[in-house]
Amino acid sequence: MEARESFVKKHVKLLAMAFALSPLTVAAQSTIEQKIDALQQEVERLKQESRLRKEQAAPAAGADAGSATSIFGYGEFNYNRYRDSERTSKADLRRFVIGFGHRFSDELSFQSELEIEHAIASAADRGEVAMEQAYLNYRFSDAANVKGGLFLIPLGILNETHEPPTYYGVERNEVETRIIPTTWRELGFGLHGLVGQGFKYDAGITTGFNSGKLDDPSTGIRSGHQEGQLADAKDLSVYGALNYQAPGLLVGGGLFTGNTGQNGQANPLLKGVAARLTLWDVHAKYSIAGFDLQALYAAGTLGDADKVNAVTSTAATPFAAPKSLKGWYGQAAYHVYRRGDLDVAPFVRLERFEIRQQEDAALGLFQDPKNLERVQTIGVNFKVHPQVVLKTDIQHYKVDSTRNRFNIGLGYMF
Amino acid sequence: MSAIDPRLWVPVALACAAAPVQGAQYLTLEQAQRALFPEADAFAPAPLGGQRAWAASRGGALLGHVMVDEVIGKHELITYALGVGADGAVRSVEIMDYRESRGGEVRDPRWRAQFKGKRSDSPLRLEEDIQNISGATLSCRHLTEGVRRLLALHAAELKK
Repeated sequence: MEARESFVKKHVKLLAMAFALSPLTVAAQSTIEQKIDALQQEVERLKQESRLRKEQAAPAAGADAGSATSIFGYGEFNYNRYRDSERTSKADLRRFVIGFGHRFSDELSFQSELEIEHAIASAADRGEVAMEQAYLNYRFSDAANVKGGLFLIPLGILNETHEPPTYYGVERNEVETRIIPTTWRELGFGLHGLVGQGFKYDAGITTGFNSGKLDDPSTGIRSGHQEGQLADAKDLSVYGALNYQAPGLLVGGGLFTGNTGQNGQANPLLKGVAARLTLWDVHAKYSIAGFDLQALYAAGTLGDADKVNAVTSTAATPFAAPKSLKGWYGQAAYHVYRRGDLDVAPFVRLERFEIRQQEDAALGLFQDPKNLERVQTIGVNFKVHPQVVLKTDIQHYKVDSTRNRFNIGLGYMF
Repeated sequence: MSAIDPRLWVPVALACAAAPVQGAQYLTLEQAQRALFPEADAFAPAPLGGQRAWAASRGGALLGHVMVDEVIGKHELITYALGVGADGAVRSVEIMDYRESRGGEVRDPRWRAQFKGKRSDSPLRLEEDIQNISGATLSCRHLTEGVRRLLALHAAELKK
């Protein structure tokens, strides 16, 4: 193409020279020059067009030339210093998460996140290696996607979007830790998509909890989660979530429900016990005039909590299953300084959570007041880059003041 | 309460299978050009500083430029077209290709409408003059940065 064009150009020029040398009038010469100019412009235009057409033939050349496989990740380094001398202050590489994605075609893709908690995982260490998600997604259209595998349950704000630069505070908020067990994932199938203007739905069938594994009421139903590890799946759960989004605004909610007795697979005494768990939440997030406002309410119930407690109780955990749980928080942040990539935003968060235990006076089991807690957090997020954040805050616990602490964290995502 | 029947998801899957299959491409170049300058009768290639661009005109009078660019969303490329009027103000942003399974909210016309009227001297910073969409932050940020870059390029090239 290039060769042919320069050939054309050369001949146009030769032709022009031949005309120019012939004894013509000045007026005629100038007309010819104009024509040559026009021809040259035409050649230039054609050349450009053919180049652009070639580019357009492969508009995604950049994407495809690299690879259909991508790597991403996030992580955080946290320091917790407790006021109470009985509690140990610690610095920790809390999370190091590496993700792999692969696009098989425009419709079919794979997403995964592999997490290493507390830096080292071995028989002698406290760390753990876990899959946070690994699922396949098939897109029929924007409004209809099907996913299958291990994926995050769309309850709350934090569970699906939990990278440190995306939330305020060094530690994740208590309500979305103890009531909604973030980072909460299940094995299953889901249907999701964007419909109307700004609506996003997600619904599906997944594995659920295993009440036979409950052993820590202070974290609600978290200890009964199965995380895709040889999950007892006699009882399945269903979930549904609907969110509405507009620029700067998010309003939504989600519901998850299913039996957790698992036919006594974890504890034979739970055979025939339904122990239905239902968790739901409503949340909102709004940004205006430099303020970031956020609020969430989450609640849940566990049926047959008395039966679960009766069979799972041990001397160490006499009171394993909560009867009901609920919590809320409100948070406000203000961007006091923004320049280029720098962003300084102090924030304050008020939280309350109530994990109600199944009391049994005959056995001397009474509610642990520490599971009815109020927390105040005040701190600042300092972003040196939109994807890298330095955080610090002070947390005050109204009931269990031994938890009062000062935190520093460094987090990133890419 | 009875246990949930796993066969429940079968009708869901069938409903999906019945839905029309749609690729990642939402707009071809011609469709994007027409969406940005519906009144134009000609789009002539006019690269601006190495950037793919077309001059939109009507009856020979320049209406503005269509610039096509790609940015990375979270980890996949987004192809978009920016329409800049002859006065240097943004007309609109059109998403041509979106390949990721999450973050597609940037196609929301209300989000894209925030760019209307922006100029090369506008801040064009996410969470300042362009509001974010929760859960699609990286796509929002990178598109905002892309538009900022294209407007700077547009202004610099037209000054020459």
